Amino acid sequence: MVERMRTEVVVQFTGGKDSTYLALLMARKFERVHLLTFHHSLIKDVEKVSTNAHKLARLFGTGKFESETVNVENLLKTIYQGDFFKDLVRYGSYGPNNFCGACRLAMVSHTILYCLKNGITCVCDGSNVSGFDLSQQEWSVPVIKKFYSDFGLSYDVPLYENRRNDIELLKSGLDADDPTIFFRSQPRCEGGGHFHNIYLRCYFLPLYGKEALKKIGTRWMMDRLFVCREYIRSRAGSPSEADSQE
Amino acid sequence: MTGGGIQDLQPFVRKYLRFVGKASVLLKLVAYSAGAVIAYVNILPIPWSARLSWARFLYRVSIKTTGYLPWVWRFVESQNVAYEMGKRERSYQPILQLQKVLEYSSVSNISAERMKAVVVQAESEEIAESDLGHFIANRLFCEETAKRVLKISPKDSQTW
Repeated sequence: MVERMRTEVVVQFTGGKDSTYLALLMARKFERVHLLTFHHSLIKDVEKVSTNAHKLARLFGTGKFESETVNVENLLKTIYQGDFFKDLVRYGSYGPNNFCGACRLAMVSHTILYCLKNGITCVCDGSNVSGFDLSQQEWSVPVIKKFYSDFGLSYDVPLYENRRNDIELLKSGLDADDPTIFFRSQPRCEGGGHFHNIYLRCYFLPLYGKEALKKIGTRWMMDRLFVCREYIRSRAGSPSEADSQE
Repeated sequence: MTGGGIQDLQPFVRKYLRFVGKASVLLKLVAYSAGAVIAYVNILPIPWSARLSWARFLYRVSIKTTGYLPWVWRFVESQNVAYEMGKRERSYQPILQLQKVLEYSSVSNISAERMKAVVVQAESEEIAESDLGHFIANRLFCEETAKRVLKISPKDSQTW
């Protein structure tokens, strides 16, 4: 098990430019890469992830990657809905408009469950400074990192500062032994993110500013991570294992 | 004649600029009003399935508006710059264009070797990252195809 911990990594994989480039880099670093993909009712064309997964497998061999798709809808719904009146008092309009944040935390929780189930301790994703959602803000990344570490997992965002991962991915693919043209081939979310994107740009930020967002976003995330923690504890194969990490 | 012409034109230019300024303020007002409506509709305790349908509706509307109104892109980018969040370097269009060029190359069975030669050429000519899509399209496709591939349509604008 100890050996597996050191040689395997979980990559949250969408088939997009960031996560594909990340998977490619991790494949050079680790013996085995687990590509974890998530979906819910608003996500369409999930099968698109297989395009880049196949290209990666062709470059590195089929044994290099393990792909799994997880439905996160139940947890997403729990995190998003919360307690209606309590949330209204505590976050105002922010909570009901943060669909994207709830989705991201559901993904984080399922990644932790996957790691605990398979005895893997390294996780990374393609979060980027150019991302607009809550989880990709510089003040959120350390909070998520801490949450992973509470379960004995190390979480990294190796591409956080990269501005054009699409170009890096293209060049890496073309420079491979078997030159390959990589480009984004990912499912799309039909609307969830738009609550957040429109709400922040057209309402919250002009009205309250970034500092207020940082404050309320962090408070919302800390509260919701408590829900995630309970969910992981109840679902982990051996709850005592999850508990013992704290 | 020339001097008079310019003088005649100046009030028109001034009027035009004033109109653009007002239009911009008006469009911002529309965006902020839409934001307020969405913020408060989302507060309503509606069933999960209705919320998902509302999200899908919003998605379709935003895709249409970003596709048909280039102003929306400028608004998104200006908000990103103002609040230092998201993409801030006018990179939405170059990223989409490179994506479209690579997708089309894949459909037209352009070999990876040929693509590599063009990318190496772009590097040696120090082509800016934002112009890479244009550069590749102009080297690999005929003028008409390149123009068509590089054109951003509503269905391309899926994330912002």
